[in-house]
Amino acid sequence: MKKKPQNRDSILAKAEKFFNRENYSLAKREFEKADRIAAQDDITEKIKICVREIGQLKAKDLVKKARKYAKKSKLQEALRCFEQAYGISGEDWIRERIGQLKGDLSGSDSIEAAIQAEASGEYEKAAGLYGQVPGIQKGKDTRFKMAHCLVRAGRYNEAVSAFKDLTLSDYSAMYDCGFALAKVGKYHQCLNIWGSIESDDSAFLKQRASVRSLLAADLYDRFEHSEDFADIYQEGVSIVDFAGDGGIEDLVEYCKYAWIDQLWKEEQYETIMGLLLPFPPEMEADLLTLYAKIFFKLAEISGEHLSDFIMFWLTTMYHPEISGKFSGRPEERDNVRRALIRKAEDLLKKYADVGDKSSKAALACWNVEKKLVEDIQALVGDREDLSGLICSPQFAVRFGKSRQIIQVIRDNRSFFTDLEHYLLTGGYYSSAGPSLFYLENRQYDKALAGLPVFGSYDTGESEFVGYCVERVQFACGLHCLEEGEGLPGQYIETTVNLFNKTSKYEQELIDKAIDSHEPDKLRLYEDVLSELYSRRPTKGIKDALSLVMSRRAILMFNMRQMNSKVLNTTIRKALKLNPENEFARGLLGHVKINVEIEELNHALDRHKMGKACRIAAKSENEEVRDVFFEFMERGLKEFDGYDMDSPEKAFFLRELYKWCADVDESHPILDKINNKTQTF
Amino acid sequence: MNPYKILSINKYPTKQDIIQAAAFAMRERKYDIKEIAAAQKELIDPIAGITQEFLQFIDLKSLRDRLDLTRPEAQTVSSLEYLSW
Repeated sequence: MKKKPQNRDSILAKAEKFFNRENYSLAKREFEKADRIAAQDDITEKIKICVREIGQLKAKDLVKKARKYAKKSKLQEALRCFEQAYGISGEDWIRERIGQLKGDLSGSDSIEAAIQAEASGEYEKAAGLYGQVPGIQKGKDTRFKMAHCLVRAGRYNEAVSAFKDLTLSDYSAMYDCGFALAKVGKYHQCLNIWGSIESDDSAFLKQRASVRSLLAADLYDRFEHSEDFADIYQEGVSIVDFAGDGGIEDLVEYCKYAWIDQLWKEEQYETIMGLLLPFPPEMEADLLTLYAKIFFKLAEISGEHLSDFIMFWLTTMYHPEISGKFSGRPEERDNVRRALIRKAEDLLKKYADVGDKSSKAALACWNVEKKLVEDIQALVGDREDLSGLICSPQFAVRFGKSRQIIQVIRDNRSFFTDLEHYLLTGGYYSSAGPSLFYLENRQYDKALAGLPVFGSYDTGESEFVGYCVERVQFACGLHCLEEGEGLPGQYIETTVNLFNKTSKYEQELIDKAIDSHEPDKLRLYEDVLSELYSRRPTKGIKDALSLVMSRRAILMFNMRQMNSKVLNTTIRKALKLNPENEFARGLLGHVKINVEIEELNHALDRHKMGKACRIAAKSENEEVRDVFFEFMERGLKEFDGYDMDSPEKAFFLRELYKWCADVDESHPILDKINNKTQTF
Repeated sequence: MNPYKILSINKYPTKQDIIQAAAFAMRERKYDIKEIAAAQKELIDPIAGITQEFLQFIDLKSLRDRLDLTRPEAQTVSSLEYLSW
């Protein structure tokens, strides 16, 4: 069928439709048809637009293709597509991308060339080629390779710069970096890096030792030409432990003291303390003075190091060599020592007044330790061979002087005022000393836990440790009693031993027992005193037991937890222990009345009138008879209401008269009974 | 309180040094007048003076002097040979 010829308008309409739908290829064909029929400017313009838009689409398509190639590292193909796209669109960014791709293509060539150069030992050339690799392609690996080649090429400064921003993760890179640093004189940094290499390779170990030796020489150079003691010390201290590698222990020590001098002027006391820790195994006079002064300065700033402050301060103040420098005149020397001790004491009091438990504990320890150091100083006297032993117990433990001090104490027993003084002094310097300090601060659990186990201490200190065990167990036991808890059984034995050594603790227990007023606590004290009395029958314990026993009995009776009979028995038992127990004696009279009244009431309740009469008649107490006659009066009063016939009533009155007369022939109730009898 | 610092004075001052330093410190007004007076009192009193000298100065010369600073035999850096890892 022959195609229907189209008119120009319908062609244009079709062309516009395609144009609006952005189908520029078809729109262009239709516009060209229309233009061929009759050329018009606007149609020509539309054709131009279509041509331009078709070009843009083609460029877009090429860019898409180029990106796909680049992703697959097909750089040549990508470049071709981008170039075609640029030819169409002429956009700037495509031009820049073409530039990058060209660079990358040349970088790949450089890497290839660098690898070849490195393999053939041309390190300088290889380093240069690695350096030419464009930034985007220069990954970590390439940079490590370049740095390695720089090291091998002997270009150490550049190698150090190349390693600067790299994280060294393998030993090879660490070695290269360290080697370059050593070659440029940065020995300390080299050793820091090589310190991470775990290798037994003898050549490497030898080389590391050589670098340490070079560092030592470098430190000596710097020491001779500068006053940079801090850096010299810090670098030197890192190699000082490697004996024989440069022999710079003394240089490092010297720089430490020189730096401390600088820090002292700058009041950097915390930093100085950091340099002085850990404590050296031995402490000679000049060093001891330094420690004491540093801890004093720190104590002025905060209460954090009070324990160490006390330890060093007291030992320093009584050190003959140190205190000898205060003054040549003994009296002035003592005054200075007192003034310095007072200054320390004021500091401790300041913290104890406003501080926490530990500050208060520090002050308590200070008081104890001060007395102990004074004692040891007095004991040692002018004996120069023993002067090094004048120190606080904490200092003795820390610097291994305890055993010698204990020996001196043992050798000079007669110096001490009594056995307690001797044992307590030795105890503080013994292995059990820390427990005594805990006790001083009422830390009973810690005191018990801190006691050394039998066999774990020196035989020379056994008498002191034994005393400490007794002392701590007694104090803990007493604390238990005060808290209303029972005394652990094993403590009785050690308590008896302690009392045998010094009776002041017996008195302490007695005072606590006597001051107690609660029945439960009194029972605990009674049990303990009773147990102790069976093993140590002293008058003090006996009298205290008597008092506690009688006091508890009356409290129980008043609470109706004990009847008169048991009360009576207990009081008599207490009086048997101590007939002079005024409290029990006073109680006994009251108890007797109560017992008689109780028995009388019991007899009356059961209508055992004969027995009731006997009790009332026999009793020495008027109160008992009063109870009896009150009962009879009541009976007489209620008599008229009794449902009895006359003979029965007469009989009852006769009996009543007889009972009352048996108790008291002159009691007024007898007249009343007579009067009543006459009415029958 | 460091009386030496308050009076800007060195170790072992004479009585005259102390008085002059106190007068200067008062003119300078860097410290409170009470602090200056207390510092002067501390340093003039013989016992307090020795006490302060002990507290405010350290002397580490004796510790340094006993150290041996003889330089050990040195190596040269050129002797370091690259080790293949």
